[in-house]
Amino acid sequence: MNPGPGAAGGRLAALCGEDDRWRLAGVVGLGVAVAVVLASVWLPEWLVDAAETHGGVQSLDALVTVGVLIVVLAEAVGLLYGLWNGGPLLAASFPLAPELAGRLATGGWGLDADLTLALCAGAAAAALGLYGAGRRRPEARRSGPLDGLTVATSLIVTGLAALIAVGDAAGPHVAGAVRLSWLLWSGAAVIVLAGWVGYVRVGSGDRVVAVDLPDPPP
Amino acid sequence: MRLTDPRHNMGGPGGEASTGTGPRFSRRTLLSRAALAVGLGGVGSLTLPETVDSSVPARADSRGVDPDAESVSEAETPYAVWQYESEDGEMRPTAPINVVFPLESATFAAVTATCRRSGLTDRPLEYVRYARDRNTGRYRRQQWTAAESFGGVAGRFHVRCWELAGTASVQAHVDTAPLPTHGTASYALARRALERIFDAAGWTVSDDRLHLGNDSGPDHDGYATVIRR
Repeated sequence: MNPGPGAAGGRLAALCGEDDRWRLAGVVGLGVAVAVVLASVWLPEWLVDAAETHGGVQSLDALVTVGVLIVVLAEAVGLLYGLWNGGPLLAASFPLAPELAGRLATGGWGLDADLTLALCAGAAAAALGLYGAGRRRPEARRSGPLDGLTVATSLIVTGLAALIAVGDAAGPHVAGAVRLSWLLWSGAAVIVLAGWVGYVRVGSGDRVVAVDLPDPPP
Repeated sequence: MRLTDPRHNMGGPGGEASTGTGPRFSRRTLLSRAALAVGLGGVGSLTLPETVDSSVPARADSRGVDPDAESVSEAETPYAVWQYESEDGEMRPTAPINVVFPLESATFAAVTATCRRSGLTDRPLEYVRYARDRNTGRYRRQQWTAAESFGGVAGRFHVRCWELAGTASVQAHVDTAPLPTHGTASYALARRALERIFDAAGWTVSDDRLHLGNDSGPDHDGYATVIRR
């Protein structure tokens, strides 16, 4: 679970979560979520003409309801996954992957409040993933894994760019979502900043850290 | 007590000390990682798509909802009056048509093209809805639709369009955030948004709205905006 340094596969696994079973569950869950979102985009387009004669429109509408719900819930699931099992990259993928998959499938490629919210929720999920990793792996507690910190930091930068860009363009009807995005972004920024500070202090052999270390056996 | 001297740890992929004292990285490693992170974030920022200015206003006029209003018969107007939902084989009106196009000197394709040029996304995630075609007496599925965003997690402006009896009928609304499903935040804001889009594109938005009597909560007053080229 915490493979030796240099193992690229191990580092990727660590970016996706600490506990093997939870990580597997996360990957499978995310795959299913993306598949359902894609199905909710494509199935109504393919089947609706046939469905009209068979009265199956209501089932297609139900599928769309599930698709929309997944896109919404994935934002929260990412935060919970990061908190529980670490894995900043996989945690950030929960808000981002269903949203991006749906956009690619429909060709709707504009920067709006939805994408901004997904980016900021992704940054927050990655930041909580740093905390989750430290919770499960005490030796990384002070600063979280450096790979994860890199992922979270890059999302913070992109999230800020999206927030600034969407500020004037978004309509008043999405103001609540933009406020929520700022809130998630701020929380993520605080955690990530603390992570860097922790690394700098550990890396430079700060006294505060040194007194926490056990004496070596004689 | 320092088990690993960070100055002798050149970092990089193998830079993590596994001695149980926690990860340590040289200053150079941390700096290069910080630069990598900011660089990746910068690339992400540059690949962000362009923003689209929303046409939805903060406020829109409405004469108020008359709960006792009687809607115009769909046999008497070339426009659709209601948008319908198929429920257990029955067609149930769910939302009022609130913008219409006589299409005297314009085409349905020009209407949809104008919507698309304003930055709306066609093929959003949405339900199947119908309008009644008085020529055939049958219900027709939405012919062209568009919304501000694919899923509308933040809420969104959303239009469904039909070409019926040589005219175009549009149901425009602003959705709430889907918690757990999309609700209607406003019809009046969406009607005004569509007026702004077509006004900006050089169409003529009539000062007199057409009375369809399809009053609906939360804020539709039963009048449809008439837009001509």
